Amino acid sequence: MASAFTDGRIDVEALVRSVASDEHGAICTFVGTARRRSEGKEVRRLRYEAYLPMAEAAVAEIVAAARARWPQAEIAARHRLGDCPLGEASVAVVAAAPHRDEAFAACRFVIDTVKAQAPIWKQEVFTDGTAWVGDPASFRSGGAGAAGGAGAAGGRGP
Amino acid sequence: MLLFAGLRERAGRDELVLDGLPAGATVEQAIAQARGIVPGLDSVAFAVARNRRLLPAANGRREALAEGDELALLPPVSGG
Repeated sequence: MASAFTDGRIDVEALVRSVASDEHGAICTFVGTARRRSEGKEVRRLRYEAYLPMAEAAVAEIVAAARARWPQAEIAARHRLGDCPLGEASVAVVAAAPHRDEAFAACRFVIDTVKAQAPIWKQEVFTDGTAWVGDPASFRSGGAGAAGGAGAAGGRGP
Repeated sequence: MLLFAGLRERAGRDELVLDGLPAGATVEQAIAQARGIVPGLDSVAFAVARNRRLLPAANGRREALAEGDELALLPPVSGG
């Protein structure tokens, strides 16, 4: 099974092709993109980090749970790691099913559950500093233009 | 012990080696040792994963560690 994570751009069309078949009459695609405004502040870009082995397992389990619930659905998900420029996709979920109700439901279940549960973290790079979403005490001033930051903290051994 | 996101930044590194924990030490004892190393560890609520499984919030930190366990401290997740 392909990794659910990529350091580069997410190829949404390829993801759609990976679930398409003539058994299905509906494909629902969700694409999350990097937004310029966050609670009134200007964002320069986003940066993502994951606990890679655990996050891979989490996404696989979530997709498996969706397939158990909507057995006729075919589902794929990708999440970007490292820097994500404004406007580009940070995450994509595609769900194909015979009819649109299952496609919408499976797609929504997967994106909602990935966001709530998978060990993935988003850092907002502002003009005046950086902060991890959900961890306001992590704000550090400066560094907007600095490379500093780990980008993808992937593939770490035991 | 692996650290991520804001905890990794607070520590200035992504992994802590915890020495001298007694045999049968608990997860909480490992966290207590990390507290002495990482400034501001408790300025964010974090979950704990042991061998890549989330520990139950209620009593998971009372579990005894085994040699070679992989512990990870996970700040609030924010994927998507």
